Amino acid sequence: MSSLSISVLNASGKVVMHRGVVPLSICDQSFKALIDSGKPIPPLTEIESYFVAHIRRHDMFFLAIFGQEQSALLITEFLDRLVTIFDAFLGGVTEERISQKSHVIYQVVDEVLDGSLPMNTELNILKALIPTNTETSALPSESMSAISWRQNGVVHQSNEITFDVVEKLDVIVDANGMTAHSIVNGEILVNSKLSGMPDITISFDDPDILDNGKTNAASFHPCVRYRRFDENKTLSFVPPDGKFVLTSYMTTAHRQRMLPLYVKPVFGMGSSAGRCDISVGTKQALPLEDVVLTVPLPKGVAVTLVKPSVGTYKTDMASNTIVWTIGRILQTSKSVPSISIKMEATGSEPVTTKPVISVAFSIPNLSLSGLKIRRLDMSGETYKMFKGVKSMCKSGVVQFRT
Amino acid sequence: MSSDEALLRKNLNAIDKKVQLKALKQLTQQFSAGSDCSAYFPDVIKLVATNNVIMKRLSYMFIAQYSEAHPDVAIMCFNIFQKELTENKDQLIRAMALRTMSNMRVLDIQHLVVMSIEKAASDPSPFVRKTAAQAAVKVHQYDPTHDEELIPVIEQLFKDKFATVLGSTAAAFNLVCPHMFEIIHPHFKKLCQLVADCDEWSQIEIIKLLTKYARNQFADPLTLADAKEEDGEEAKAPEKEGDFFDESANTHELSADHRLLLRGIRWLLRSRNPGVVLEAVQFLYYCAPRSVGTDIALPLIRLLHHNNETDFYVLSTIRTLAGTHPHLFQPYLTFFYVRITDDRSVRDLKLRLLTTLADEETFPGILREFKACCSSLDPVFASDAIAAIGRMAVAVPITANDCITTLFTLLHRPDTVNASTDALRYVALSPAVEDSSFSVPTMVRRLAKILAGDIPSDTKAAILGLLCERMADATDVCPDVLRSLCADLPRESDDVKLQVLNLVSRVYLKSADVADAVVRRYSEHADKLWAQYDSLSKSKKKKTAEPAVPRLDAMAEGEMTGKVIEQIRLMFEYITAVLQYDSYDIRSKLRLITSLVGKDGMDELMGTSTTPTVSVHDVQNIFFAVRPAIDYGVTADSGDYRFGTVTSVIGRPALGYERLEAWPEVPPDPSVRVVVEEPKFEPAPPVESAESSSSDEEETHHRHHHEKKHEKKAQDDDDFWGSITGDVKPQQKTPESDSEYDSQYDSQYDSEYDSQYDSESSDDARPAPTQTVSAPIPSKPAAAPAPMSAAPPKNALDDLLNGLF
Repeated sequence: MSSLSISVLNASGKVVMHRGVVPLSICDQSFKALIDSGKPIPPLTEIESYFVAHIRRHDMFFLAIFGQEQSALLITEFLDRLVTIFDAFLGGVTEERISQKSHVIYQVVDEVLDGSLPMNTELNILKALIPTNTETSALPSESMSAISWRQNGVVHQSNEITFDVVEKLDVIVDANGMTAHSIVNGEILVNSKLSGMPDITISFDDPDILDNGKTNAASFHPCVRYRRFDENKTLSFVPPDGKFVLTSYMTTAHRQRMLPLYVKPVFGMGSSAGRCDISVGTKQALPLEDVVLTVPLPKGVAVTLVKPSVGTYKTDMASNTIVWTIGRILQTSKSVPSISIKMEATGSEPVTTKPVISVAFSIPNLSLSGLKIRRLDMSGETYKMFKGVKSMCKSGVVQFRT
Repeated sequence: MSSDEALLRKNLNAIDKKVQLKALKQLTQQFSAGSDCSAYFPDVIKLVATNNVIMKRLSYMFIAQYSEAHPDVAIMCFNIFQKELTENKDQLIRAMALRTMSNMRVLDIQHLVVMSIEKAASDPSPFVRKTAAQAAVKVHQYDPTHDEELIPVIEQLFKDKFATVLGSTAAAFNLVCPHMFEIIHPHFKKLCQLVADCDEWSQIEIIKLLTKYARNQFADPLTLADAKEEDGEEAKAPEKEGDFFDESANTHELSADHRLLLRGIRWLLRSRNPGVVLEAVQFLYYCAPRSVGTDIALPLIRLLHHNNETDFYVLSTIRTLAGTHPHLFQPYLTFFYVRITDDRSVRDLKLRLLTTLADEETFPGILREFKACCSSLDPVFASDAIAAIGRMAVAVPITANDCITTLFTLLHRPDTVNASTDALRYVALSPAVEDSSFSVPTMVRRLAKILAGDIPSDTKAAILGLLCERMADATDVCPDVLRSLCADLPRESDDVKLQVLNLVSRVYLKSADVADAVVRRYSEHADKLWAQYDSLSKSKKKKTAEPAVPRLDAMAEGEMTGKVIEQIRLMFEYITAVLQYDSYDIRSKLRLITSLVGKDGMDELMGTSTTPTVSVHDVQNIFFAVRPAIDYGVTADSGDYRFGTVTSVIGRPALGYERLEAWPEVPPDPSVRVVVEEPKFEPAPPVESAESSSSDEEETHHRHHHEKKHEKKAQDDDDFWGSITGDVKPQQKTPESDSEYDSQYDSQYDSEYDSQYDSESSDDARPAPTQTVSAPIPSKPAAAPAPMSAAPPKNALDDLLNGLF
């Protein structure tokens, strides 16, 4: 009753995996509640005397069913983490893989959840505890180390560590072209392939960026010594092996106050016909890569003609959306990429709603916030390591209202 | 099917291990999809004694799952588990055995499980001890009668130095004996210091525990700060008092322990786990003094926009906090603007939150955002945004004018007319607005004016509906509205006609009042004009044109009222006559109305009819009944429940929900938390010097320091373990021991991470317990000098880290 049960349902409500003491009928009822489109569905619902937290990932429902007071967010976060772990163990979460490798999944769940308590969600450790190779019959106890995120005895032929500073831009631009909201969400992704127990220290040119000039704005991987950062603004840590997120931060006062690109939409809809013209351009010396515009058109409108000046487009009839793939935009190019969409009204009612255009892009080698790693030192090991730092700017949610 | 079953059963009993394993995996696949596989129980039970880890694990899980259905057979396995727990050399297998035991849902064996937990609580492996704490939780949840026996185990587990053990022990404490704070006292400092090192899930349990502890043991930080202010020369302005987030207050009045606690938990605001951040925020909100309050906004904002589910909880929390402390979140207003990736429940919350944050300065931006939302492609969301505008007008009267103007413009769009009329109606019916500068009559009049223009028929009908409802606020304009509608009545839509019928019958029923109002307005208007004229002609002594309207005396007024009443009657008759030949709907409505208020009905009402069937009172009730107010769910809130809890989401106390205790009036004696240090050896100087001499020349100072400290700690731990396992150590308690303890802790705290793996590595140095259990790995005494090599730090570290957990 009070323990936590985990269930996975596919998009049509079939139980793919179920572990726990909660009767299966609760899963069925939850599914009915979840697909009820009448009202917004909060991530926590009450079914009989149970609470059901759900997340929807990979077109499946992951449920946690429990009967007692809990931190609601803890449960949701646990489910989210569980999906990540499944992903790592299965190499992609699909219904088939979950049911085929249910013995692995079952062991994973057994390891990360004891009764009602989540524990041990570090991938590193789980990989060591749960042999995916069926021939192994011994447990690798020797490699368990005191720090939960790193095993002992890691050996790499060439020792290297790379840092990717990936910054995602979130922007909302008003119908009159004013930037209503703009922030940069940054992450430092580390790929560490270092032997032994290296102890890394990195310092930044302008460490205040991480905390947005205030306190407690950045979050760190558990390996980072918080105290050290508060004292001298350096990140000091023994890295886990492989890929991990060292820190994620958020900054509002980014150096490029202006957007790196502009989108000028003109949307007009008359009583019978209308058109939408959009032009896109860069404000950067660096080229915009992988530019994709998504234009969801209002209901009651049918597209009659789409004419992009460059790139290709696709029309999704079901959601009435046009996806325009431009690719690369250079500042030096003579003509500005533009698209012209002609529409006609299908209903008798005039169309008064307006689309919100979203843009995806990336700009390599650009740090919007201006965050720069100044030094990188290692102690604890004597070998020489290769280090690499790369910056990258990407679109988060960039939306232009019309 | 049955042949499949037979095959599976045969394979489970095969001699070839590979076949067995394959069959077991197949079985797992079946029971993980929810089918009942209890029939295979006897076959699986034979596999328990295997050496293959996967087979072991799968069969263990199977047995735990179906133990409830087969208690007798399950008990047979129990001995195997017990044996594994005490005899297996592998800590992970021991933990697995204990976990399976505690997962078995058989009442009869619970006392045996408790015994195993007691045994496991002194296992050399922290991994097994952690499992023991978790098993205690499960025993409590399944059969609470064993709590008495579990409490000493929890008490013992709290003595552990491993963060990982403490986390699960805290969870057990929270469930088994949530108020026995005397167990916590000696370990309070340790918990504060180690909480940052625990795994994320344990951190949440420890914060829960410490929140309860703080509310039970410390003085209310708010009253402390208040007391200080009152003592000071310049007392704070009274309205600031009790404001949790006032930055000017400081923490000086707090006890040292309380400060330590705050410091420990503030680190957790940096956690990457949103659950931990929210729990830490909750702690700081409920247990910290005002100055800390400002810290909590940014960590919450940072959690936003990773996924919709997290957003839901974070926004609910922010909404609760913003209800009392909007200024904390007003700087981050634009974070609550709606994005295309938000799902419906998140968008709904954002709209509500923005309304909460509206004030004189922020509302223009918020209103702009709402307006943008009104153009959303999703009609439901557009209506929600319009409702939000209405809510804002009512909640923040200063915004009412702008909001209502916006709503008026939205009346002209066919897709928003219904929602905006609803919103206007909500505003018009709200008592809040009646007190504000914005008057409802003005609004209704403006609406009436719109009717004259060229507007969609839906809008027209909606406004007429509202006018019917608020007739009392604009009685005098009603006849005029009706008059203008009469001309084109046959060409209006059915909805409009129905509303016209409604309005005219109301006006007709109240014709005396209506006429009065019309005449009063006329004469007021005339009086005003004449007064203007008088003053002008007096002051300027110049002839101005007389007003075109004649002044009315009492007699003329009476005459005019009579005329208006007559006009209203004519209008009623005209409208009913015109609509008599309309569609069925209109005609049946008309019949109803005329029978009530028409000529026949009137006869009845006036008593001229011989068989009165309805009273005047009934008619009043029918026509002037008050429609229920629109419920935008403004009052629906998480109430007084602690935010972030399941209880706050569902809106009523969930099983196991605990209210926050009130602060004690007089905090209990803090001396209970003073820990009398275990006796310990002084670090032997020769070893240390040997150690330092053995270190490589290239070694940095930092590293050097590191090892020395490590050395000392290892010995401390040595002693610590000795005391647990019953080794007799020389008692050498000196007066300095207390302060030494403190300084040791302080230094440990200051460089907590430096020493983290050092302190944990102490496991190695611990002598094996005197029981049959052997340490997982033949360990090398840490106190021994590191072997000379090219890279001494690495080796030393490796040795220390080996075999841990």
